[in-house]
Amino acid sequence: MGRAGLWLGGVAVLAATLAFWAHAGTFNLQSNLLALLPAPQRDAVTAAAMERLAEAGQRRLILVFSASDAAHRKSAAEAAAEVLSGSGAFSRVALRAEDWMNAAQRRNLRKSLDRYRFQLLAPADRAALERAAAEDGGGAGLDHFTARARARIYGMGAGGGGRFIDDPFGLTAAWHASMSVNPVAPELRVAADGRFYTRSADGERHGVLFAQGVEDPFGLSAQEGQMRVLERALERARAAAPGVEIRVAGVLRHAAAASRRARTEIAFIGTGSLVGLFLLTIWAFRGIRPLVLSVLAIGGGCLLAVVVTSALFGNVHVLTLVFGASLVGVAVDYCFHFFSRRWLSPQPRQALRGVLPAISLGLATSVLAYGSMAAAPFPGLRQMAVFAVAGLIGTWLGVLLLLPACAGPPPAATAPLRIVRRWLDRGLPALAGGRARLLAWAAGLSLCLALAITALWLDPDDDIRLLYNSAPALLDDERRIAELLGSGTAARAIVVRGDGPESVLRAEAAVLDDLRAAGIDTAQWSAITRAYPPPSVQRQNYRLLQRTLYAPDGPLEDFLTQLGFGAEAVCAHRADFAEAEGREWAFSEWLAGPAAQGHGFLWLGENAGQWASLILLHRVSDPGRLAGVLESHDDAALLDRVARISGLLRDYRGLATGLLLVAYGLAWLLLSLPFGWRGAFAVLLPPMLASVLVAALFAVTGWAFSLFNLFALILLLGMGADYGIFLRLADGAERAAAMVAVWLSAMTTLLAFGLLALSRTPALHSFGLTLAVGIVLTFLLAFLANGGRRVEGTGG
Amino acid sequence: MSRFPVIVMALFAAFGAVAAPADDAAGSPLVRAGSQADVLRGSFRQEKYLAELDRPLVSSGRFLMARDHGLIWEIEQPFESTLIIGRQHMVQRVDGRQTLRLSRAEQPGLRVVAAVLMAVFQADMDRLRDFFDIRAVSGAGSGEGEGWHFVMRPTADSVAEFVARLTVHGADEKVERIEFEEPGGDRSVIRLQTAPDSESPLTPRERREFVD
Repeated sequence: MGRAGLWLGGVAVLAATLAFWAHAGTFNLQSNLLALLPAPQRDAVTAAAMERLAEAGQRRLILVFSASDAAHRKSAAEAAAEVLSGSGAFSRVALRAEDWMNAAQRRNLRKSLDRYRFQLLAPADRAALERAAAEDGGGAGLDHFTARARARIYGMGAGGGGRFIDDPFGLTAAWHASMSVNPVAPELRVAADGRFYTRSADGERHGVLFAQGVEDPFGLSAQEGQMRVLERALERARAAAPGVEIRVAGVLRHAAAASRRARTEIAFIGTGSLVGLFLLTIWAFRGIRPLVLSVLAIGGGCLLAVVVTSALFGNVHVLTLVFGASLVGVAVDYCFHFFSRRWLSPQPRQALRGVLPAISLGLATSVLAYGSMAAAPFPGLRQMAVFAVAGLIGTWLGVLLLLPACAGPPPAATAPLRIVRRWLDRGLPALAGGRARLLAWAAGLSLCLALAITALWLDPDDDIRLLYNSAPALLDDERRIAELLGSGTAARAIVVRGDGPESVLRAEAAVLDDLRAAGIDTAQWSAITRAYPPPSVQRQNYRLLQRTLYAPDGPLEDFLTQLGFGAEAVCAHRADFAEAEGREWAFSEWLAGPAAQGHGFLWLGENAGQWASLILLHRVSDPGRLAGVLESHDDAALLDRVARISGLLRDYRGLATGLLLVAYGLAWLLLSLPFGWRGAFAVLLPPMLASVLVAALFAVTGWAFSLFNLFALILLLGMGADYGIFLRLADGAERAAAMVAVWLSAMTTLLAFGLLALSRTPALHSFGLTLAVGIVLTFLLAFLANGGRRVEGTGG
Repeated sequence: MSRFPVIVMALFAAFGAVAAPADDAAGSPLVRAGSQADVLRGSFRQEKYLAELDRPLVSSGRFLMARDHGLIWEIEQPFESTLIIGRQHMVQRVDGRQTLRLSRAEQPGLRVVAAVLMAVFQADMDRLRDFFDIRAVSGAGSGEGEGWHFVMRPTADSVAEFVARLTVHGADEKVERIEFEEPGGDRSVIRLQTAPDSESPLTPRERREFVD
């Protein structure tokens, strides 16, 4: 019992570790599919920009309330807002403009900006002053401002919040008005009572509610909490006004749907694999003990896998678990080999000694294959690879330690053994015997043919939708809301770089000027310099005023005196202006203050020595014109998150192709040690040929072939080589037994990956499909390539 | 910019009250009155009291409000200036030259104003109560004539930024005087007089003004 005790002790330690982590809250299940993707390698700024865009979009929730009756819209929205803001799971719940910044805050902001009022000019005023300055320092051009001011003071409600004398030309008022353009979405409107709304093409109004998740919606516990709150909010809103149609946009619901699906699939694939395993084991070995032991060995392996993965990565992705569930079918091979060997060597230790070289070599090739998957800097695949390697090693240890100790009496020879003997005598292996030349030719020919088909017709797909395929209803809501708010569903931005904050802002302002000059609608973008004039612009503004309205011989004195202001008041105002010279509304002050609300997230700060900001593009109506503008700015580049991720998938597909070839090379080297060059080639030929045939199949059918198919092909190498290894290492009487194990393992693998092919995540579906088809082909080819030897030794 | 219309809004609230010296704070008389006239014309005289000025700034001119179109506020003295608040934009002209033009699309604040304006036209008292706490004082003869007046204090944040208090004085069925107090301490008094042809339909020229 010493070995079994060791195994039991190990399992106990692992279970305790996991329990401790779960208790301490350090065990995280991650569900963000994009977390599986590598960070863009190119540079730190792009990486930061991608992350910022994802972050900004990820936590936001938008609810749109549609009903012809305004009162219904109102009460539904209010009911939902009450639940959301009372929950603690969401912050910045906003039904009205005031919810983001109320009058008192706005007043404070204005007061704090008073110091800089001569540095701030609305774009239109600035342009008018520039024109006036160009026409020899004023004159007619400035009449525009005095006329406006006169109209203001004599008109209705002049003065507003402040004193007229502090802003006689209305420049500060104009600046604040130009700032109130909302940065959230082009079509978002504020109703008279401050409520957000938008209008559809049919003129119908829709109420809009914003909320921000406090935590990342991809964290499973936060996600569940937020979903519960959202569902209650919707329920309450519908109860408040039954006729109101409510649409929801936000990553939260997609994330929740994806993890729900992953959970169902884990259960489905796991259960399917296990049931298959149960039936096959009981049928083959006629007893409950082999089954229980196999499940224990695999369970131990999975436990090790979870603990190791969590320790290395800090979290376990749900897709890793989906993938892991399919691994059950691979890990069981070792158990099968052990139990079928006992038909020949009833003594458990002897049986283990008999299969140990084969299963160890099998483990080595599998680890090699999975290991090459981990070589790609692809976090998700790395995690799956680590999970698989740890799981296989754990199971192998279980076979080594647990199985011989508890194996019980040897199983009786059963139906499978008889079937396999018949198969060896009259099936494919017999057919292959003595026809080596013919087979070699056939293999070579089909290899060439399949390669040609693949090369000609295979049209790889690197779309990000391989990872995401949300339910049509959710996507429909998303699209409709984007349409109503005038924003696109895809996050695109321009990244502007510089060697310091000032130079970034200067470059950004220049890009915006050119965008405006190119006639690209200003509603289409949000940018920092729309809310904050860079110091250079502030200085220019002041100088511009100095040369025009506030020039020594300018209109200021005459104008104010005409209105009836005394000399004292006029002098005081002039002194205010003189005192303001050289003042600068510092960028850091803006960034830290309330004025940055809504725009602050566009500042990327410093990344690896480079400073950068984002110009967020809500939609791009004319990509050609946009590209034209950007061409003349070396420091600005368009960042298309979707395109960038697709580009990554494409790059890594190339890398994976290379890895596949390297893995084959390494496996050939490794296998040539026991089998020689020719033998090693024969072992590797089946998976190789099967891989090319699968690729050809995908080429002919037009199914999506991506990076994930390539990773499946790498695994096919690991598993396919196993078959050859077992068939080669088993001689004579052992052969039938080995073949039963290979046969059973192919069945369970096929079952597991066949089930994975049913996954509704396209990447996993491709993966499963490739492996399922590949396994069948490899299995058949393995007998042709390795079965021809020593058929004579089939008597048992 | 969005400060202009606030008083406009107040003005219309006052017009709403034309036919209805209020008995209490209820809005029903307003509803009745407001729904009567599609068009109202008249003349005004405004005195603006600024803390820094010894004498008030006086202006006078004509006004036109059209239920489905908006408002024209035309200053004739001491200089010519026109403010047009339409459904889609707000335009200011001085001596025939446009000095200001805001469209609803680029100025969400204007949408707010326009919406309120229309609410007032349609005598949507419920809507007005979203912005103001309205107290009506009947027969309090502090002003001229057979006095009644409303005191409106803003309750909505967006309005409170521009108006501290709004008082509408009237006698019988007419609004006579509007007092507009700003948070900064400046104060305006507007006296109104409706014209004899006050309710005749819009002329084509007037109509164009709103569309322009």
